Amino acid sequence: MAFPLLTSASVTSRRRLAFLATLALGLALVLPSCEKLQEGVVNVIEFPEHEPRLAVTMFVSPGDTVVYATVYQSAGVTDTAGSAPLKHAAVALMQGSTVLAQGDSTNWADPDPWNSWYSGPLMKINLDEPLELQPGAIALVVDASPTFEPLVVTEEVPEEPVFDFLFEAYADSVDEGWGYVYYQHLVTLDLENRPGVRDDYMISIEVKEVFEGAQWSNMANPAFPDPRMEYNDACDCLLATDSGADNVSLANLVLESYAGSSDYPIEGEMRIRVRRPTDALANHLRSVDAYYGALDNPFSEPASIQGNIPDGFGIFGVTTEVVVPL
Amino acid sequence: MTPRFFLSLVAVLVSALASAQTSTRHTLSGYVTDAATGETLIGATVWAESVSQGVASNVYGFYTLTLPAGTYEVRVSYLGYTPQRFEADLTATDVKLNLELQPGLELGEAVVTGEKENRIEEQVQMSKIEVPIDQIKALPAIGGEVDLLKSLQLLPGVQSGGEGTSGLYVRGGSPDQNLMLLDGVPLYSVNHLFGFFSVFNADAVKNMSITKGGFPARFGGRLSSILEINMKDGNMREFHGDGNISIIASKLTLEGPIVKDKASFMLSARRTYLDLLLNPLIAAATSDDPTFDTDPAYYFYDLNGKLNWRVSDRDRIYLSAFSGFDDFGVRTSNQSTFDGVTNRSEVSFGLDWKNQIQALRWNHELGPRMFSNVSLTHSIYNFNTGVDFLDEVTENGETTASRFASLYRSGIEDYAAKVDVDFAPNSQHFIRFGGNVTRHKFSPGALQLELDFGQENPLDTLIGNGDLFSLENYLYVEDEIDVAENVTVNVGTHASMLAVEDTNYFSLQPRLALNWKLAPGLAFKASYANMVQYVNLLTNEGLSLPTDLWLPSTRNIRPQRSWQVAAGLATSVADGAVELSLEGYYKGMDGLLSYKEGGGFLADLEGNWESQVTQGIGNSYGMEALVQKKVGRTSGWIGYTLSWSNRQFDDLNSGEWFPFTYDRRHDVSVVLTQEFNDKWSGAVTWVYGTGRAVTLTESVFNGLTYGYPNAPAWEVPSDRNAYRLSPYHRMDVSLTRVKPGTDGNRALIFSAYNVYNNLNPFFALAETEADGTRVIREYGLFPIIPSIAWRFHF
Repeated sequence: MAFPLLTSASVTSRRRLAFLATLALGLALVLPSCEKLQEGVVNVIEFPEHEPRLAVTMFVSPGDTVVYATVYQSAGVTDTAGSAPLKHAAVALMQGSTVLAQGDSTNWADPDPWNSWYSGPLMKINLDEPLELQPGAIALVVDASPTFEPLVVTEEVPEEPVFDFLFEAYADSVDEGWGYVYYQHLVTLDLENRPGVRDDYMISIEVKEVFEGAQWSNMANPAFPDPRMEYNDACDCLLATDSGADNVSLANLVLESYAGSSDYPIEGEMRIRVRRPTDALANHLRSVDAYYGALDNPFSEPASIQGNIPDGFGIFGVTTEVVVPL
Repeated sequence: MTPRFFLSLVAVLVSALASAQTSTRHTLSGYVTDAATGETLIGATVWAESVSQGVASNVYGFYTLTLPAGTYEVRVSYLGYTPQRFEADLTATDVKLNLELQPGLELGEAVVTGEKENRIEEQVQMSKIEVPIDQIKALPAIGGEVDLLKSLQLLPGVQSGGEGTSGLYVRGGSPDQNLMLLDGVPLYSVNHLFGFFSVFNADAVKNMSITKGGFPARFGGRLSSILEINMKDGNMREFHGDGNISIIASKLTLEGPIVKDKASFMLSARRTYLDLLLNPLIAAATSDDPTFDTDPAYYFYDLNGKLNWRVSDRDRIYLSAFSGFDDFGVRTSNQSTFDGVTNRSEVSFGLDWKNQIQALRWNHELGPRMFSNVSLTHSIYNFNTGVDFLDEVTENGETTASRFASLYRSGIEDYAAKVDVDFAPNSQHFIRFGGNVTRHKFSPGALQLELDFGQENPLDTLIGNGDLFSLENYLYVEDEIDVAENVTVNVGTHASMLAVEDTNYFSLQPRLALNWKLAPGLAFKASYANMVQYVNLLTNEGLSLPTDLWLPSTRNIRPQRSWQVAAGLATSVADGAVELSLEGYYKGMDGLLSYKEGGGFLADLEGNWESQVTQGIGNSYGMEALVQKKVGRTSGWIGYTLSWSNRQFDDLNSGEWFPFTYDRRHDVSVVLTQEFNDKWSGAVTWVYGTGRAVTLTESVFNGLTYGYPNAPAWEVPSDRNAYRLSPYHRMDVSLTRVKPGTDGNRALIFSAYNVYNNLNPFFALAETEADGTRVIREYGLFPIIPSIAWRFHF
């Protein structure tokens, strides 16, 4: 008598069983993943609970008649409410014991429709006199208690920029043919490179056209690629720098300024405006451009907004400026 | 490295030469070849048993063994071949003997024969792993397309990049820190299909090895690894062919004698047919809209060729060439007619990259103890991408057109000359020395713009970076010395120089490797290597694309440097059938290059790439364990890596240290091949790795901006690489059925990638749900992918 397991029928049956077992195992492995595979989602990343931080922004320059500021608290990326304004907060701009500007819950306003740096609520502090900044330290004091501890951000008022320039009206115009001329002025600018410190400059050549309600707007661009200077969207100006090196000349920066065309010439007042930002503000402006540039370019590394708010976000930016009519 | 060290080394070499002149010794030399094909064998062991001294054949199959006058029983062995014994009479004179070994492998077999004398504990070189090509061919492959680089990712200390990609991250280094030599010529881009396949065609390759540390002085120019891939020379005896048809691509390799035992050729070609498969599917998917037409196309091909000519008994000439090309394009057009006016718009986008090398090499035996190789090589990599917008308006039979086109180009091209000399003055010394001159031409990205709106002078201009030239030279000398009965060292130095712009960089890089046999079958190994790298790949972290730019060190960009120390134990058990190694390492790096925040491809078209980058330092350290069985019906290995890899850049992450994106704490690989019988064999691989480190947006805040009115809230990224994607794990299997025939073998290979269907993370994305809540999800790419391939040999 043959052993039952060795008969041909039982071998076939065992093979079938093995096949079915393998099939069942395969299906057991594959089927639970099908829903996941359809969506392509591996996992939802859990974030630790976000601890809100103070976010403050304020830019000041001598001659300002209005000072804008925002005081918000940050929000976690998964928080649907988003970053919220702290309308109970008070801010003060101080030099020594002198209060240059201050605002509180009464100063919150919607942004000016034609001067909209920002779309959300902001503090708008109207000054009785144009702002005067003395050399030395300047402080932004923010009291958003009890939500946050009071905060003081201190910067040094930058020295006034020193520069020389040559303005050549329409010197960079281009005749496109058919009588069509593309007008451009040429400006050659010499800036100061102070030894031992980093020099950054915000440069603009501005035009205020003749129509009613016209605003000053920048028309300057580098005349050719120059590693010392680049256009910065964040300030709508040219940012020039010596990168902290004493042996980098900041002379002979060549700018061109659009002046319309033979069909639509731009007419109005012109001025050259040179501002000297604090180091933190210059870093901030570059980081803002990098941030938005990265959003538009899938090949870019992500960028973060640089600031100077301790344990928080944002920027207290100070500039000095010299404006010369052209 | 001090001049004193260099002088000491020269003194050692001089004494070795003196010793060679004064002793009564004779030399056994020649080539070791495959008896069936005449193909030279790299690393075959020639061993004089009575004195327990031996050598391994070099990369050209040449060996030289100098012994005191006498008669010796010599054994020759090589993995996968039947060992051979013979008597060498060196009593009176030098002996020139070319040795032939009979192969013991058939297609599909996984049985290999071990080489007892070249066991891991005998070799001075540490951190080097060779995987037999036949074993690689037996492993499961995605789409049935065997990939050499993906098989290397299964080794300890070598990590993969993203899912399915063939990038190599060796001991915490980046892909550009791997010197990939195809027949001794650097290849700059090794990717097909955006990195999912490598350019190396397994059928055209004879041998492959990777060195992760303890670099001998003859190697230089990269920080992390040396990958040596040698093409087949071509069968000297008979005409043969190998073919493979998979669902991704097909390839055919032909080889044979031009003049029997005198000259041979090898020619291998591969082409994908993804375009033929996908185009009809896409056309069908978009056929509902008659006004819309799309025409995508993607293909790659590569060609390998080699000529091998034995000019005389002492001279051989090799001419090898490789060409790889990828081409991707999409053209869409849209046409509409309204009020008798027809508007037609067409957008074309294209992207292609090309890799080519040529090498002319001349081997010459300067004597029985000295062997030289002279190489002249050329290597080129080009990348192009362009977009073309065309608008046509036809009214009353008249057509007016406007067009905007841009073409971005980048690349690198090398011309090089190289001399290598092997000199074995006696059995205590094996000296290698040589030098190299390479002229690099970098094209770091230029953009050509064309604009034609019917104006009188259409715009046609070129902006961007100009070409940049550099000259890279090196000299090296190394000596493998038996300093005591149980101690062997390899000491050497690699001196290199780069001339670029108006700047010269010099470096002296000391190298040291030690093998101390603690007991029979057990060795302690240690090494130190200083490396300098003058070329950099500028790439976005975590994303390897053909858009990555090869750039030189310049007056503003200092070279990358590293120093690596490694130590470990090596042993073999079961009569050499199983090898075990345990290594620890620490690698410090300087001059690492990265994009600054916001930098990247196309981020600065005005040509100042140096302003987009920043340099920093890094380190990596860890421990690697490998158990490998190369012999028997069951073979494979188990590898485990415990590692850390960190970076620090002043301009990134607020200057704080952060984990490298491929910092992977644990990495496990299990590879098993099994020959069931003469017809059936199978293989299984399983990998596990700690999740990739990524930077994610953590929070948002509102604030004023100058120039961006109505800007949304600013997103705040986490500390760099502060988060981890889910761990990666996957199992692949394959089953091969071989059908022997009178005119050759046929094999059918069934394989499944990701057999238990685990979706592994590839990227993370923040998304807003319908109810306004936001989540960040990890997304995967590849489910289970079954495939079938047919392989034939005639």
